[in-house]
Amino acid sequence: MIPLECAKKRLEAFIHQIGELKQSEFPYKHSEDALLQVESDAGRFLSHLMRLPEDGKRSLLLNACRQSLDLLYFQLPVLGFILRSTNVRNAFEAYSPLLRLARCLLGPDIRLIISSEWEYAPLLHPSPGMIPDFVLIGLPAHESGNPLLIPLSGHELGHSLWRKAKLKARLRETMERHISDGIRGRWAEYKTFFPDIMVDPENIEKVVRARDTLEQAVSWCQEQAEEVFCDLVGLLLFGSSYAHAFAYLLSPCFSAPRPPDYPARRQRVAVIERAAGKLGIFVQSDYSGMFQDLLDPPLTKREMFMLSMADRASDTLVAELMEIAEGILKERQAPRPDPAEIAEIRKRFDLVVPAQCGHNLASILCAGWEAFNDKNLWINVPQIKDKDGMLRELILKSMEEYDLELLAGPSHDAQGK
Amino acid sequence: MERMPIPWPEKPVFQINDAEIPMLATEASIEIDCTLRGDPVGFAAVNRLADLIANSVEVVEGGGEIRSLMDIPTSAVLGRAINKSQRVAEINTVDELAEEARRIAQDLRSGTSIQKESLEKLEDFCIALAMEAASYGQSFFNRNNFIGQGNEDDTLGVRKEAP
Repeated sequence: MIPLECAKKRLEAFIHQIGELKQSEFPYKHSEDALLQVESDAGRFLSHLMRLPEDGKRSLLLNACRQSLDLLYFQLPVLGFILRSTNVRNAFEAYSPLLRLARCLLGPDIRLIISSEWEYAPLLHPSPGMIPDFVLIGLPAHESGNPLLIPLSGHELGHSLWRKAKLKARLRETMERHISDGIRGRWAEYKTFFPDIMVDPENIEKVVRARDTLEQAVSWCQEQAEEVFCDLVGLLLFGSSYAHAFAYLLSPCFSAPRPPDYPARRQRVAVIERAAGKLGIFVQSDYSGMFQDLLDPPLTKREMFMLSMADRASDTLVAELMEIAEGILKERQAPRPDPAEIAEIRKRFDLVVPAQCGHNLASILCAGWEAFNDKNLWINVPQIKDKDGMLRELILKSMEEYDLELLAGPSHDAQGK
Repeated sequence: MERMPIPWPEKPVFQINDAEIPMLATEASIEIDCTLRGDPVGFAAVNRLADLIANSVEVVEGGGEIRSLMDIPTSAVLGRAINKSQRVAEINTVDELAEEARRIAQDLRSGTSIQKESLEKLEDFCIALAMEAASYGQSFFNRNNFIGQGNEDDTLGVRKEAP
């Protein structure tokens, strides 16, 4: 068998598998839409492969076969994600409210899939260009029914916003200027790492060989800035509940070293804490004390130098990212948590009744976290043995009430049908 | 700061970490190959790639000067693809790279009307771009595996994060 034959047969098997999955019963249409999208992409590529002669140009054949393998490698987990969106452990009550939020932010064509995963850190979104117009939100299987973690979906919506608003392109010059300025400020050190680059500091962005040395730092800075932006979107959309959910899932830190395309954990937490302060959101005293920094990544000295440039540049961008995030949310008229609503809902939770209609999703979740953090919650209600379970039920019921009211309104369109 | 406009900016941006690029460039190379073999299948991918690359440069107002709009990782990968496909002898400056990007976009748009030799060079470029773009992503994938965080396989496909 030759590679081209293998590639075609693999893709055919993949497409056949999608056909099998399409027989599943999906709780909402967007899962099926995603399957059709993946099927269409794979089918289009297979039809291209079918045009290739077995004795064709070798470099063309090998590249095409390699790309077909990559397609399967990266799309197969998406199929698994879609399949698990049918699982009853998912918090389906959250689907409509989250879809409304996603469409408010990203437009009426956006589609949403929520699922559960068998990895601890599973919040997942397709890379740009792969099933665009879908937002995929997953939670670890054992937490996928826990509404208190729904605020983390704000981070995922941030990734979609980042792409939709083409913020990487918009911030390109700023990011690259920060990196170049940082390098000019440590020019002697830079020269020790790149002794062959014969260029004046002021021309580093103009000469291709010199500019290429910045590739890694710029790439890390881009990724870090996106992560910061997503945290800010999460905080703006979900208020204190985002910060609580973030700490619940991730504090103090993993034992593994830090991925260089994420900001250092303490830097990231400091951004959340500072932004919360600016927005008048009380998180908790010594929030940052809950976290530890991850170990440094095992990079070479030259890479560590470039990482320090990326860290510096992304940190410099925080204020601008905050302004952009606030601007977008304001223009999209995204609902934000309301302190008066939170207090009102909290009172109802104390009485072991769900929130009434008229409250927004973020307010419900903020009130939920306040109740969760209250050691005296239902201290005088001994009948409640499983406080966490009861609170989750109250939150989910409140989300249902919220959704029912919106459905009764004139402009409902968020059933994903 | 300037307010974000509504609706969203629609002009597609050529960015090398876009998962679409390796597949798009591969499909474009196959379309060109089919044309060279006298078995044309249309130029859908070729035209889309031409649009993306054309959007990566702009003509400076008031003159014929070309300016790059590519970010550094994108221009680095594009430069490597150009070198690999031996379209030009050497590219030294960002302006030269932008000029060559514009030429590539024009050639892609010209499609069947250009000479066979130019079409073959375009095919080589598309193959090189697909491989460079894919391995750009792959290098980060390996890095993250190496780190052992196991939470990111950003690049060509699915990215997992925490959050």
